[in-house]
Amino acid sequence: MPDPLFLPGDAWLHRLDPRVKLAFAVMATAALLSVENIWVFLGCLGLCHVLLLSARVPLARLGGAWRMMLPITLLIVLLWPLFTPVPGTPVGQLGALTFTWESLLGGVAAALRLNALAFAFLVWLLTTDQTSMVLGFRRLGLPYTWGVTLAITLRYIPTLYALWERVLDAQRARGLVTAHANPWRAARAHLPVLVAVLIQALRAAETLSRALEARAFGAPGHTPTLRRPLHFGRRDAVALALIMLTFGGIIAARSGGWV
Amino acid sequence: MSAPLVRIEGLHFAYPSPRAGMTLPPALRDIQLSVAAGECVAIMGASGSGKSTLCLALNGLVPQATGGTFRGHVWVGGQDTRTTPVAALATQVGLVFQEAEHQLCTLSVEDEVAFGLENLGLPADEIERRITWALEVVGLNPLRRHPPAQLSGGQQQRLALAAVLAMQPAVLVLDEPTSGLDPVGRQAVLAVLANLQRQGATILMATQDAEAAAALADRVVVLHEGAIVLEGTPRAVFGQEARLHALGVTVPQLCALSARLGSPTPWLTLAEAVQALQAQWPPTHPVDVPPATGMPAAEGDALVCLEDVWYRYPSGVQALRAVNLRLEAGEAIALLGANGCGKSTLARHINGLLRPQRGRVLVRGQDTRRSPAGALARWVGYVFQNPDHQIFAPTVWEEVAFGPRNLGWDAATVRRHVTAALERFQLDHLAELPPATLSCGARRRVTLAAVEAMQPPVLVLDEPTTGLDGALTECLMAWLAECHAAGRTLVFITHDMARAVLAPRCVVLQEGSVALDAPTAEAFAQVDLLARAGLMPPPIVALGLQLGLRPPPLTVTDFCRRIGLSPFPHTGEGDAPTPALPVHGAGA
Repeated sequence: MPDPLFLPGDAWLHRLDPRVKLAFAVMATAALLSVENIWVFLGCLGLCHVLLLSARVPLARLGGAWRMMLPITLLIVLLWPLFTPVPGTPVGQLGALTFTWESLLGGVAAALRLNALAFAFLVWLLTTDQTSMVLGFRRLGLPYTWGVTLAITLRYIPTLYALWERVLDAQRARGLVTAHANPWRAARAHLPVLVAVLIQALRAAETLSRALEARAFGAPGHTPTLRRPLHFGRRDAVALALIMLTFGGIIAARSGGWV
Repeated sequence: MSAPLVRIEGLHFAYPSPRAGMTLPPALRDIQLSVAAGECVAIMGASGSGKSTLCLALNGLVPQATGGTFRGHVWVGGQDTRTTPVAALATQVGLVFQEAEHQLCTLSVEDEVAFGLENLGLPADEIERRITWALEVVGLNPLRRHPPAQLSGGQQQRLALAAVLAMQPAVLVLDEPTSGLDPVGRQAVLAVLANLQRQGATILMATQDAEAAAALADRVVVLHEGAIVLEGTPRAVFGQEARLHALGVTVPQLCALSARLGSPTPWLTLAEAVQALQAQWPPTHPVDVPPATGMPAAEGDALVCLEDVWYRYPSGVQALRAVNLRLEAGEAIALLGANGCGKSTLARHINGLLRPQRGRVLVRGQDTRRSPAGALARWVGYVFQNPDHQIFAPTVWEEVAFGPRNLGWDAATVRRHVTAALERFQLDHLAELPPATLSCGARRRVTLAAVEAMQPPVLVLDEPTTGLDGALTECLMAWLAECHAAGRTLVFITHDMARAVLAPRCVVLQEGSVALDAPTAEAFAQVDLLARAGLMPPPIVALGLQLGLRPPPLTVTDFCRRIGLSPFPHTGEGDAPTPALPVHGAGA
């Protein structure tokens, strides 16, 4: 079974208002996209890890997230110098291309920024159950059906990943070899997997949409219940203030040209 | 009997055609059916006979979501399902879909049950009360906070049931509620349904599970090509064994036995069968005949050898513990056990999809840890439980040719093997159609043909009979018998204990360890051990054991032989001659 994105628990981060956690992810995104400073990226990554560990998220789970991000991280680090060469101190040569220390550092910074973004959203996703998420969306003015749809989409990401693994196994059992040195051939070899996953995902989506409708989703004449009340307490206010100060400060510093 | 709660009059429905100029045959034809409050009706029929379509028509998804040509009327609780919005019908009709996994949409058991109630806008305290009640009914209250994705198949099915029960619909409609469940999970679902039935619930259940229909239903309705062709009490319907067999419907084992022995009425329960047999054919002198299994064990070299194999998933689940297993060339084994006991994990070690973390797996003497991924496909063919896990090609021909091409065969050899495989599974007339648009039964045949075309000497089949009708199951079993007769080695993973008798040897897994490795007849006699492993012997074995036949007979034919009677010619059980494959065309 795939690990769902949400990790059940009762830590302080789980109890925090879902809107505050969403504000963390959104403000972190704004800050990370507004600056070009590797220390900000590293700082944000460190903060996310501290928050998640304080919410008793196991190290193995964080390791799993890093493993998921590893291929794209490597790809960025390796390809960045090719597509955005920066003049500077040369460290290596590949044909006509010269790798400089500065371009490699640019690749590392870009990969760190992406990971920091992913972990900022993980702080929200790993500690917010679906009902709270929908509740948060509704209180922010999003229609109920949109909130449910968004929450279900997030819930299905690990399921799709598990489906990909299962289909890959089924095709490998028929002799499919996906490991090729040539990236183009490797990508093409995954085509039978991609097509089968898409077909099955569409089937599953159709079943799910019918099942939702059969359970009165969108039933006319009913206002859906907010089963659990949402209380924006003092702790939530403090957390929100800190988020605004930290990330707002970074954005302001960028505008002032200090970072 | 009270006024009908469900009334269907002159229902005719055809799905919209997938492309211009193509017309699909009607999925439902002239259906007339009434169901009274408190009644339990089983809808049976071969794959593609219209069972699921009828279920969807009951809550309005047909035609509201599907489109298509719809004539006639369906009323539930006085509401016309064609014009009342599906979501508004939710309090009248509770529909549990076939694959529970695909209808669970939340992250905890209680949220799943609450979802429909929140949509109805019920007060929060009423929602809490109904969650507790519904979870109590299905026995899942202790798992309220669990993520649905981590429940077993049987638990997921019960959760899906609780989610609709909580909405207190007037009618419960269940599409294949026991399909794909292990014997214990299936039994738990049936117990919940029996309890609901006693409490007066109105239930319509589309099913291939004849034993479940015999145990629960007040009435059985049999569909064929969209029309009702048989209707009556279970005793009246299951008494027509030859007719049901021709319609591709499985008959409960005890009914098949009563028909073979010429009993005037079919036996629906073990108690009835014991009473009748003790009165008329007391087996005081059972004939000492070893039970026929259909497949003698072959002797030869070890083709597959697992030595002290351990495997743990990254999630921390220890799936295999110190498994030792030796398979001779030409041998057939049934791999049995509850959901999650490690059967599929073990099977994936045989074709190298998984490598042992401790111990080793040898296939033809070759250590799988040193074989590149996909290299074992030449020797080990794997039939996955869900045919849709592999179907991707634009045509059936291309789909079947995919494996042989991966093996590096030349074009002429590929063509020869693909053509033969398509003919073997009567798919040649569908060769140019896209496999994804075929019926479920036809898609399953495509996956069997895809493996057959590769001609692997070892075949691993993961729950191949799940969701198949009687005729297709018999065809599958006939193919396996052919493969075995040709000297191929079979590993047959199944929950279907009546079909597991195909193999002369069975291996029972419990929590990742081999709990039992014995000849099938001996293994099936160990009822307590089977129960601990989440298994139950099939009814014919239970009957034999009750009558003191040891080792117990494994099939109806064996049973007749063992009590010294010649069985009548076959009329419809899996251990007998196999009919020609039914032709399933494209479409729903």
